[in-house]
Amino acid sequence: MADVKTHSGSVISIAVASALLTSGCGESSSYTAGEGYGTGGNAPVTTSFNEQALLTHLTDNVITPVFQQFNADALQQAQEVSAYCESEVALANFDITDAELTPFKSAARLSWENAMESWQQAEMMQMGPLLDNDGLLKNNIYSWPVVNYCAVDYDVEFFREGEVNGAPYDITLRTPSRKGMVALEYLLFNEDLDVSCESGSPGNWHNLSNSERRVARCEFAVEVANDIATSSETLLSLWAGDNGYAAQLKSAGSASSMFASEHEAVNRISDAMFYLDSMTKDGKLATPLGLFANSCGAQACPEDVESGYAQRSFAHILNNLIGFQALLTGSDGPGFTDFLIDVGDTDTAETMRDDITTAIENVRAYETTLAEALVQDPDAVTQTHADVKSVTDNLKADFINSLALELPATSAGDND
Amino acid sequence: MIKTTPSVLAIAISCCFTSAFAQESTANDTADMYERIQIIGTDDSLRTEAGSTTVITEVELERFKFDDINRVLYGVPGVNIREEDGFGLRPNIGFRGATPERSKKITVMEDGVLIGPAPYSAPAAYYFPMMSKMTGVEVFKGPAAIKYGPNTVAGALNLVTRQIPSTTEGLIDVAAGSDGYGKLKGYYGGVSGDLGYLIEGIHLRSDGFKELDGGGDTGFEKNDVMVKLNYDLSSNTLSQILELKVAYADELSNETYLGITDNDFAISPNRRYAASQRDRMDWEHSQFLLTHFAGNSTFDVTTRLYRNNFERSWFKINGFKGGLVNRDLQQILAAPEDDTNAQFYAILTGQSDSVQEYEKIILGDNARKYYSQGIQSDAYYNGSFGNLKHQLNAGFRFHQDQIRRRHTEDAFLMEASNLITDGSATVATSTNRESTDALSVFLKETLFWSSFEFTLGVRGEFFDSEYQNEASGEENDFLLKSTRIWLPGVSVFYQYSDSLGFFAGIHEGFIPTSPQESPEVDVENSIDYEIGTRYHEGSSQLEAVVFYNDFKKLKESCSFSAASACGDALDEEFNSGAASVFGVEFAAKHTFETDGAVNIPVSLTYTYTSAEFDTSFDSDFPMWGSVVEGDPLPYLPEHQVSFDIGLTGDRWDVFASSRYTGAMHEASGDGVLLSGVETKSLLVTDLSASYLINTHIQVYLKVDNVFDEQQIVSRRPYGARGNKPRQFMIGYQFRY
Repeated sequence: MADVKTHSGSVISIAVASALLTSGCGESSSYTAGEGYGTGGNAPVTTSFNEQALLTHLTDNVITPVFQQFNADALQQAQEVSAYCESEVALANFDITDAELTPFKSAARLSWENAMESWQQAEMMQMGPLLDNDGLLKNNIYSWPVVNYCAVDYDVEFFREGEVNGAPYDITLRTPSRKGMVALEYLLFNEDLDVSCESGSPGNWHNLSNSERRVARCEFAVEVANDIATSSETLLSLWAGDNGYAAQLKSAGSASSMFASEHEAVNRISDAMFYLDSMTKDGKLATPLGLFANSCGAQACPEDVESGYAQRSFAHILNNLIGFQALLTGSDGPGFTDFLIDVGDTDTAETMRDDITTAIENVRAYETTLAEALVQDPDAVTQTHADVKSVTDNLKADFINSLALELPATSAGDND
Repeated sequence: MIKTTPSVLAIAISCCFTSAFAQESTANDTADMYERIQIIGTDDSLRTEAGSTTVITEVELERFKFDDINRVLYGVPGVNIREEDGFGLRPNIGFRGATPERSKKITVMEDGVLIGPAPYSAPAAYYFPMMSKMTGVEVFKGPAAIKYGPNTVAGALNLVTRQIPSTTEGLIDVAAGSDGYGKLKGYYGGVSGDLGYLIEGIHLRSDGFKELDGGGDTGFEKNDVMVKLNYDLSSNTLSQILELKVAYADELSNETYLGITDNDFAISPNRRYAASQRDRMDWEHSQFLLTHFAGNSTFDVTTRLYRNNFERSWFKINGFKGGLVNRDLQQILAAPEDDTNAQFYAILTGQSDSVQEYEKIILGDNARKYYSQGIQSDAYYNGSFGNLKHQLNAGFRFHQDQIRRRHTEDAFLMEASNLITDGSATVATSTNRESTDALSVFLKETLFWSSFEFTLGVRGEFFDSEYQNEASGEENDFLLKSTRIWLPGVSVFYQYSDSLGFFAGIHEGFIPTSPQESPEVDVENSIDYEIGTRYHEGSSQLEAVVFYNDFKKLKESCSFSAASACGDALDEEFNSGAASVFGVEFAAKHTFETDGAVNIPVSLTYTYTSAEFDTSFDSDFPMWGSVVEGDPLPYLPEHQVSFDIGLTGDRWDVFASSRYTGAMHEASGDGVLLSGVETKSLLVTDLSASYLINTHIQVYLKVDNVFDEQQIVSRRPYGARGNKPRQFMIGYQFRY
């Protein structure tokens, strides 16, 4: 090897010292991002549209009234169910006749249908308190498609006995599928007094007379209806109370809001509108149609319709569409269609407005239940699915792209 | 048993460097190539490197013949580990409080070269070298580690493969054990004239200790072949050698990310649900390394040219299809009694069939191809300023790496406890590329004055990264980033006597962000301090270190292996508020000699760690949540103890190794799924014994986890999983 020259120490020391001084400058960085980076492929839009006005209008004049209506309906429902149950007890005591019971029972059922009409619009508006804790409050009110009628049967008996595994029965501690509107539908509309369990049955149910069973079910129905009313109060409080979610939406972009920008808050509302895709289109139509796997093995399946006991599936779909339409158009104020027009996508605005109107009109035209239509006229149901799909196709593409919104996480895996 | 020694380079600085390793207790020793590769020497005198370093020699590795890097590192102070599969196939290793997740915060090397699949672009070490072929393990923490970037906040791990032997020799090692364990290992090497050669091959297998619902293999098969050739070009005035290493490895393992519920773990800790029956990791790795060394007593330079290729298919359950009802696997396993979760749980376990669309099970193939290549060189120069000796160490590394993702998903139905395809088309999920070009430089100067060694150093990292969405129509989804950072360090060693010394050091730590991550996410940055003492007298050694790492921000990333709750935040990175880690590391060993021919070596290692956030913040990262100042960092036990004892005779030896790992938090703050949940403390004891029948033949017996103690070691990625249960193994070695 060639001889290595010994350098003077000063040069080395200066080099190290210089390097250390340079270190004091710390870190520097720079970047260049593509137009599609961080937007899911959507470039931000430049618009003068007043998103604050959109948020305020949709919150105050569309969503809040729906929640208020549900609250009123839930309270009315609790009264009607209570009155009905008093009649059931009277009937059991031979104080009234079956004929005298009927109007009370019908009124209770009607109150459930009314509550469900407002709730099915609220389903389209799931945000904030309805999504917290994995949607616990929402599920406490309406857990569909998670239903467990056998579990309801058990809770009827637990409630009748006043305890669960030695602890006093407390409906607030019970899981959602044992209560809520799903359970209430079963209790009010199911005429079969046998339990729905594939195996086993709760406690002494098989020893009860039919009269005792009806009383047991109606008394639990009262408990459930009261719990729903309480949940509706909770929802209203968390939504419209001081610094509630509505206030957070309306103050988006300010320091006091959880939303860093108005656009982020608008995106939470658009997230909720995707209920029309995953629940209405896929769950309420594609699944019973057999377009998706169902309990009949991917063929038309009346057993898989929503609200099979009350046979109100079309009504629910209709109210989903009405709720969506209100958010889309804003009804009597600014809506998403105005936003679309403002950013220059009038075509999408008009197409979606027309498509949702068509879907609503066609659903209104049904004179049968969905379960019947699936058997008698499956083509019509397929068309209804197509009507809704035409709306959601635009929702997932042009709507989102034009408004530079993000798809909700749960919509990432497209089921179409 | 583990030998604790100081770091190389004497010192000091902590900072810097790409690859230079040395054993420079004195400035004028003549280094050779293997010292540069092996980093830390093993002589019997007091080491004067400042900084905490540990070397585990071949002799020590042979005692327990561990195939699992986790088991090897449990005896090293300052190491925190989150076990996952029980075999250490994909280890999670952190040092001094760094998140152990996929060992992505430490610098992992093999023979002094970065060995992660793409250390800059995708630092999660889904590939980890086969432990069974290593003849040395070196651990550098704190200031001693920054030489080995890019990740300098925690430490570096260097795995050393077998050297080409100086005389002809070979070995055949055959072992078999419970759970279908099998090992076949052999090597042959020697020197012919100026040419050295070595070939080594290993096959490792197990049927697995997990019990799959409905039956099935939960084990693995791994193969590794390595060839080394070198040529001695030395002259009278210059040592010079050129060495080529070529290696191939593969793994086929029936592993899964799916764990079980706590209740099921209590009943049957090794159960695996039916929904994981198709999960499989299948990878291949190839490696090329050309090393040139030239040096004499004054100057030496080591240059390495390297290329690593890694390709994998990782097919595993991602979750349920969802849509109408959405539940994350982690949610389901955390609360299986919830009536929404109950049906999903029944499907996972094969008790119910998938009926609804949302009940279909999604299996994803996270197919990825990586490469990592570069050239690195480091040089040492020993000189003097009058009577003042000094050593200069400088080097550079130009490195390129890349990851290409081709992730897809398929839908399956659970039918009669079997996963059946639903016939739908495979869906592409992530299709992208991340790549980085990085230049690293380091400079370190050590001055030897009286009983002191002072070292100043600096490391520079300059890298340009690129993220490109490669899905059709997504050409505008790209990000180009440039980062430049200088990281200084300083350290000192004071030799009080021939057997006792003290050291201290400060350095700046750094972990880069991935190419895909938003520029709004900051790099992880810390100032790390340590002070320690070292004693070495005869067979007695002791090292005690107190360290304090002050993080301006932590950076974590959401991955399938971290938690399924990432949702659409997969691969997204997160910053925390400030955090600090304080700790004490203690390691001591001594060999008691008896009147007979029996020696009793003992060693004790203890680590105390207190790690907490210094500010309150809210994060979407599933291991953090709503953090309040003072909340602990996840997966960091407060206390860890390891105690080894042995009896050694002329022809035989028996060793016992026990380790205690304290409870660990599964999450830091509130509002995330595993908030308030801890793993329990765990005490595990391993035994080994060997007998030398003659100079050629040795037989050995091993019992891992002799008391069959099992606890939940983690509830991530999805659900609870335990450590490996008791496993027996007998082996036969023939040397020639």
